[in-house]
Amino acid sequence: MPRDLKYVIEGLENIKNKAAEVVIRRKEEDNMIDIETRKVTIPNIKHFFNDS
Amino acid sequence: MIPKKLIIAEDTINDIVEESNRHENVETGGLLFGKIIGECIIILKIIHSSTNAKRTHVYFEMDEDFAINITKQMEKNNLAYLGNWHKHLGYGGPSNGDDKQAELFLIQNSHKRNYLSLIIDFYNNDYNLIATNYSFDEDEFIKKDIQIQQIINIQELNKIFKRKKLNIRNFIDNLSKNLEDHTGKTFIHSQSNKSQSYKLFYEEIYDLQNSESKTKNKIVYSVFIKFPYLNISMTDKISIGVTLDHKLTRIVEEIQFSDIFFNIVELLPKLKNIFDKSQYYIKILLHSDNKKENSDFKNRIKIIKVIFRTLKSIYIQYSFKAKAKNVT
Repeated sequence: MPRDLKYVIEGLENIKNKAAEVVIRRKEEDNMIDIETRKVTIPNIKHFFNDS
Repeated sequence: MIPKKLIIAEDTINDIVEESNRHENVETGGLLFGKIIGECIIILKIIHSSTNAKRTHVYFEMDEDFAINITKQMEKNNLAYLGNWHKHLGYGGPSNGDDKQAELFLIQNSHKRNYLSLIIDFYNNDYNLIATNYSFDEDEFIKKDIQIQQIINIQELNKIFKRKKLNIRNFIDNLSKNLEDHTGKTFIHSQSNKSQSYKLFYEEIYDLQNSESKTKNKIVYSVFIKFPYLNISMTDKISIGVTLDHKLTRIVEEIQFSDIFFNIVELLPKLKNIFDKSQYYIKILLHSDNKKENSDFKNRIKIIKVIFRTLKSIYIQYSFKAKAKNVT
């Protein structure tokens, strides 16, 4: 599998799991679109006395 | 590198104690944000959980949407999510449940290397702070208590990190993303091979309506942030400024690196202001350019006058000698 495609799939998986957000930019100079995924930290929200 | 020390300001601890006292006989807590520098974890911001949190004497759960939104907001401002603080009612450090949650967090967030648990344990009207760092060494899950260094305020960090040099490549990448979010402009990265300095800049072309410059109507205006080196110390200064047509530069402000490293939020409005005041800076720079041209012209006139005077005196001396020769 091409490496770029691997990144695209990984990015989409992250978005699906809400672990990433997407930034879309249209570049004026060549009219291309940049899609960037940024990792989002999902914080820990639970604290309990035992693990049962 | 596994962190070995937690740095926390006195005000932050007081804030945690007050929030704990507001929720008597139940657990409570909040989110911790800051930076990790080498072996030190620095808490720069704490956010207490919202009113929607579930609180009992052995269990505490934050509102998920609230926690995620706050974390996104903080990380956009270059403050990393470090972990949580929470209150225990006299049963000491992290429980089995706390350990499991820390492990789960590191598995789910593969981009994070550490998770910090800060517990405030109340017993007989007194409290004890326990800091624990969790990490993975390959497949091994590691839990380690770490030392807590209490400082009076954030300004003390300058003293602690005075001699330490940091590679700031990641910081600059994050800063440029931040700038884009804040100003809507994509900054270009450039490194000078000669001076080792690193620059983030954005260029705009302006039409000069009132013919500020007589020679041309369009001018390239660029706003820059310049770092002296990529390996920078906290006391080094960075400069922000503007350049006209790639040649006339004006430094608008010099800032100690620690001031933006620990809090870049204050830098963003300053840069936005430089864009908003573009006409003002263009005027100033063009004016200084005219002044420079004028002074260059004056210097040239002075040189020509000196040459003329010298030639004249040589001519007089020569003609005087020639006359004297004719007399003899």
